[in-house]
Amino acid sequence: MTTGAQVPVPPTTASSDWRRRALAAVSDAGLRSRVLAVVLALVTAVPVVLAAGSDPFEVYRAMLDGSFGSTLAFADVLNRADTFILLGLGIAISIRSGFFNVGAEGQLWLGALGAAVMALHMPGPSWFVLVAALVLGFVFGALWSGLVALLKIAFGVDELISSLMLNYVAILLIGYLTFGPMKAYRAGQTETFEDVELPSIFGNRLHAGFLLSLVAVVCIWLLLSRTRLGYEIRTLGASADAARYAGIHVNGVVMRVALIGGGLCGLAGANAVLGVQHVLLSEFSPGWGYTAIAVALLGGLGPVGVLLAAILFAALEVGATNMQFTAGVPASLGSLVEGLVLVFFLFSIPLTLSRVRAFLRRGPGSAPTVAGETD
Amino acid sequence: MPRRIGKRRATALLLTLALSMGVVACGDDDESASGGSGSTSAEAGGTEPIKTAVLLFGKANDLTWNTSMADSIERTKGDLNLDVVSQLESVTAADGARAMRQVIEQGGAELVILHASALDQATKEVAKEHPEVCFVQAFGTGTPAANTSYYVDDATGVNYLAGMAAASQSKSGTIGVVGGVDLDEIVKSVEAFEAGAKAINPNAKVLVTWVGDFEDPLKGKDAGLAQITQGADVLYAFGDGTGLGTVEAAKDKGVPLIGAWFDQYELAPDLMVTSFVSNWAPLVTQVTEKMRAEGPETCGIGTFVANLENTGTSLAPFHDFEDKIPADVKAKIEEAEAAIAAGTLDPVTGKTKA
Repeated sequence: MTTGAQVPVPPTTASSDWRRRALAAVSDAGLRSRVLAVVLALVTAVPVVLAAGSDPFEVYRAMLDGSFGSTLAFADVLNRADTFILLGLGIAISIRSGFFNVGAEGQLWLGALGAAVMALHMPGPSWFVLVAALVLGFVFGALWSGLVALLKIAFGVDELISSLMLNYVAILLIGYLTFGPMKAYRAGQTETFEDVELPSIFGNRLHAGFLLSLVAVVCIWLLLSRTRLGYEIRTLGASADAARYAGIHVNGVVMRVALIGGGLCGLAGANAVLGVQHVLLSEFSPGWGYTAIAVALLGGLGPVGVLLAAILFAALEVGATNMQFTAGVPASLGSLVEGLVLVFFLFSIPLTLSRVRAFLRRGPGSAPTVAGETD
Repeated sequence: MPRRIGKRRATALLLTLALSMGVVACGDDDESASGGSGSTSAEAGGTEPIKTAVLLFGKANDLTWNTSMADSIERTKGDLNLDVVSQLESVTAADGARAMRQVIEQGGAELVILHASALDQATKEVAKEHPEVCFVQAFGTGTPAANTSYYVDDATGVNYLAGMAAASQSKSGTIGVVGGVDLDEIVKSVEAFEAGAKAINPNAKVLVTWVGDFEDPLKGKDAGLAQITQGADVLYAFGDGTGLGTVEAAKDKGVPLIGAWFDQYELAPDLMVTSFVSNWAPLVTQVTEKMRAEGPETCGIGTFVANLENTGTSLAPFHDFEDKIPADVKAKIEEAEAAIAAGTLDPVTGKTKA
């Protein structure tokens, strides 16, 4: 891809143009193609299961049992889904504005760091420390993403490159801290902070992080559909030139989107350490920030879609553990299905594009109706 | 050393692919495949089988750290009458607590073995929730709860012996050590390795490279090749997943090497002089016996330290190098082993103690 490196404020370059078209295709792809992608992925995994010498029916039943089979299992799914929801929202809102930020992983790690620093060092009652830790997690994620936006606005650095590179910086930074200054007990981990914990809700092991992520879903929905910034984001996502022509302060929108999106990813990190791990480890995340890009895309970059896609991916991962010990299939089958879902979904997009072209050629009357997603 | 980072790199992946069929094949028929264990579980008679779950950070077939536990369980489950209800692979710190609850609540596990230091915090939490379950945690921190045992290894003695074997195969006198992350315990093991090498060749030079990652075979290979360029003619692949790359470097250049955590002979039959082997059978045996005697609530045995004395660590057979290692070196290795066990030789400094 090309980078408009020397251009201070990048106009609609060829590269951002294809990105915008891809973006339009992803958000326009219908609910039908999404469901089809999931079904095809589950079917395609069957030969793999057979090759492993297991009964596919048994395997999928174990997966279903392990994710939706009991209240406890479903609580585990929702506890895992909240990370994907917050990350997916953060990524979706960035991409919606045409700010192709793939730095969710780094923002997630920074958010976890912010929360850990606050939880470890802030004096005061635990509810206060908890809130402060969530806030600092949001702020750290926002600043990390804001740095990417700053580089883009001031020097025209392509955000795709800078945000990806900053992921490694973030992971290595936490590696340095957990092996160095913040090390406790043993290399690679900080002191634990069990007192500062997200409370469980419904008398269950479901922790409040899920509620937090639901609130975020509503907020982002309101933001996108009911506010001026939401309108500006959507306009900018459709065309930077049009946005500029409409008098939108493009750089201001990019910066605000970066702060909100990065903040949400940071909040996901804070949520994961405060809700589940209660310690900051050098191996805090197994790459959730990247999985969440798939969640955002599959969710059509809309809040409700992200919520559903996040629950689907969480169920696949939690169910996969159960599948591993009841049906004797490697848990990587869960990741395999995740990957296949994305592949099939992306395959379905050219199909959608051709429909768009047909629409433009023949006019609205003859366009086949595609079940659109409401969000 | 037990810190596995979840990145799947090319070499590890290839190895996994090559071996996965075999593992899947033996996964289904634990009873019928190994006739030995089938008959011994009958001998254990009278006792109920203990439902056991093993959580691994990496793949059970990595032929290093994870295999060391998977293999120890496989060897002991017959005698100890363990019913392995699940062996989970690639369990991350983030998923540890959830996976533990799943194997206990859905899988009915009574004994849970956590072969990853990163699961320490999760184990503390789940052990509190489930006092009726026995937990065994690698490199646990603090004081273990009544239903929890910790285990660590003291690999200095065995590394001293490995250093002696390595030095006997080096003509240039330069030996390359490729390590993962310079954790305190591992640095000490490498010091012991160097002391052992100097016991055979006082002029031995040991090059040490820390790659900074336990699961990066590509870096492990580059570091190994660099050391060969610097004159090393024996390599020590001491980096777990990273070490698999170091093995590749040795194979490329036809240089003899030492393996770690498991007998890695299969990886390079012509070149593997010996390996430092971890054996967790004594640990599993001690915990199971206490659990049978006193119940899971107080099954904790404190912290188990694997060393040469309790066979928790040992030197692998020399295999193809049986004839290439001079008899006097073999005698010296045996002597040193006895001296370390007797406490008269400090393997880290290589100095004899009164």
